[in-house]
Amino acid sequence: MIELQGVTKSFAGDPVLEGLNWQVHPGEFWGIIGPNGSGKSTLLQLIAGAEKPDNGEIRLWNRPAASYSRKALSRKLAVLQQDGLPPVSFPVREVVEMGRFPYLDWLGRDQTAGADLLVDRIMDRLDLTPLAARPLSELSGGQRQRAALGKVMAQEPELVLLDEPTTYLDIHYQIQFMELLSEWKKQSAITVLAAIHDINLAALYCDQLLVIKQGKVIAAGRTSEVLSTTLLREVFDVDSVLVHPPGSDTPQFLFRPEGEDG
Amino acid sequence: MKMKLTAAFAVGLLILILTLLICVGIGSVYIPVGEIARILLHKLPGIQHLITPNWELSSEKIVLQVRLPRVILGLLVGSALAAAGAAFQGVLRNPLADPYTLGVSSGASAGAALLIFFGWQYSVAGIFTLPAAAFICGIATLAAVLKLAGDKGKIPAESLILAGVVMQSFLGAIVSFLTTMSKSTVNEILFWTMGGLSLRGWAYNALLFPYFIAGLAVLWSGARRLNLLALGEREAAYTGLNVERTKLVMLITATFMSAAAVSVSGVIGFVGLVVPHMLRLIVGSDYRLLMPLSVLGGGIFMMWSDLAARTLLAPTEIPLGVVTAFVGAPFFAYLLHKSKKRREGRAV
Repeated sequence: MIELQGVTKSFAGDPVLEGLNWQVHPGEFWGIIGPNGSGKSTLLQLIAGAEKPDNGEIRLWNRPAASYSRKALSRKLAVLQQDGLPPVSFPVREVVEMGRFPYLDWLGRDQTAGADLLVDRIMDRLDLTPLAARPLSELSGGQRQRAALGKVMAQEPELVLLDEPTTYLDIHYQIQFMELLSEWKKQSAITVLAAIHDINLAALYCDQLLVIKQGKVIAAGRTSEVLSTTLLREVFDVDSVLVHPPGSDTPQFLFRPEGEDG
Repeated sequence: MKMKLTAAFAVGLLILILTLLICVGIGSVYIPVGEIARILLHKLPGIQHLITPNWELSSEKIVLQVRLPRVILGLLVGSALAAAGAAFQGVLRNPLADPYTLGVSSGASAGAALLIFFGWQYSVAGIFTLPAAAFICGIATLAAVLKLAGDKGKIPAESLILAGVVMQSFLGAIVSFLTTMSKSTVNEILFWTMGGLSLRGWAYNALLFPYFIAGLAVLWSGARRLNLLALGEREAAYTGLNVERTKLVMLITATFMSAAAVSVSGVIGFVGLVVPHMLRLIVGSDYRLLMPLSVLGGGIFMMWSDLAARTLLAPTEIPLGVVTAFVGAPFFAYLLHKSKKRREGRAV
């Protein structure tokens, strides 16, 4: 579904990604982890077509990424940006409806039957219905991020890219957001690529992990096989302890300051 | 949205028609609104026989040949400038953008003045020569201003205005220079710098109308795209918008409309700034509402401004650009103040 071969990108002479190879298959849930400035956002922007690689090839659904028009691509691929949506004065419902843009004909009519119903369902699912008429600018960070997710869902994509979607959320909304995302994934069989800061959140929700550092792939594969205290030491330069929370199969990591003896 | 648009549009249209009747009525000779309405209805095909002409022929002459063309021209010019202003603000996502502050109007007027100075106004393309030259110079000015203000693909509000001022002064100097150099055409060139609608017959309406309609169709149909752009260029692109093409089409069309307006009325500032902002306060920032309502609002604003221009100091006429600047410049200062406050609020 996604194939990256030897993808290289630099900004103003500074290499950000160097010869990156990666393959993603339909239905997978990938987390992308790595230190700040390791090229996570750039990687997502390249796949989303917002930037062009200097070298190498990106293929989406067996076609060069550059061969898609913005509109055609937006029907298959949606992006939730790190900054989310700006505090505009449009009401929530209209912002979610904006996600239907790639499906509108030149008269502004939706080409899909039942699009209104689709938007209704999304609003319900994300608990946005009571907020429908509220301007985006009046919402809290967590609510605004839900509206952003609603807009992305209205796009009915096959592939969703998320750039650190939980950065500005408190722990309640972080968990809520990831739960909504995995529920959507289960129901619609979408493929998800998410750049994530929080290792434990990634361990909980991502099936696969791509670990990059300084523009190079350090590891790629099943989360349970990739994540280890050794890897975290190598990539983030931190000491950690692996713990198995009671009643859960997913190991989590505790971090401790360098040089402290456990 | 549709109901809100219908309601607001109906109210706007009503005010527009009332304004039109009042503005046609007031002048050196007062003509009652009812009489104007009957004269106009009498001219409509199909219902002529329902109305008996019981007015003086001179009234009909004044209404149809003197005042109506001027008032309608004001309506068209105001509508064009306001719609262009709304489009500029949407594409550049800058509340201070309008044909005047961007220097587009000055550019267009410099182009027109050059043609007149050399006596070429009907040379290449007949009566379309003047609007064409105004358009080309308007576009060139816009390109220069955007280039001057741009910083790594972003255009900060203040640099945009500074760049606009620079171009305005420079182009204004060109027009003034031409005014000094030319003997016979002094008044005609001077007209471009101050703007006005006096002595403009039906021919000018006919000249502006096609540009107005075509431009409006493009801008209005782009309303949904402007809404998407409000979310940010990258977000709009991820939602399926061809951002570069949209920006180009909207900027060119808005410039085209501004230039067409300038080529019949000279430089009239601030209309494109005041009207869309007033409407934002009332109906919000949805361009599907803003665009059509700006058209109505711009027309209404311009008709009242022109009424003030020709009646306040009658028989002396105040240049129309002076009237709109008296209203617009303080409003501009207010917007600048507000955007400064908003930025400070964000920094905290």
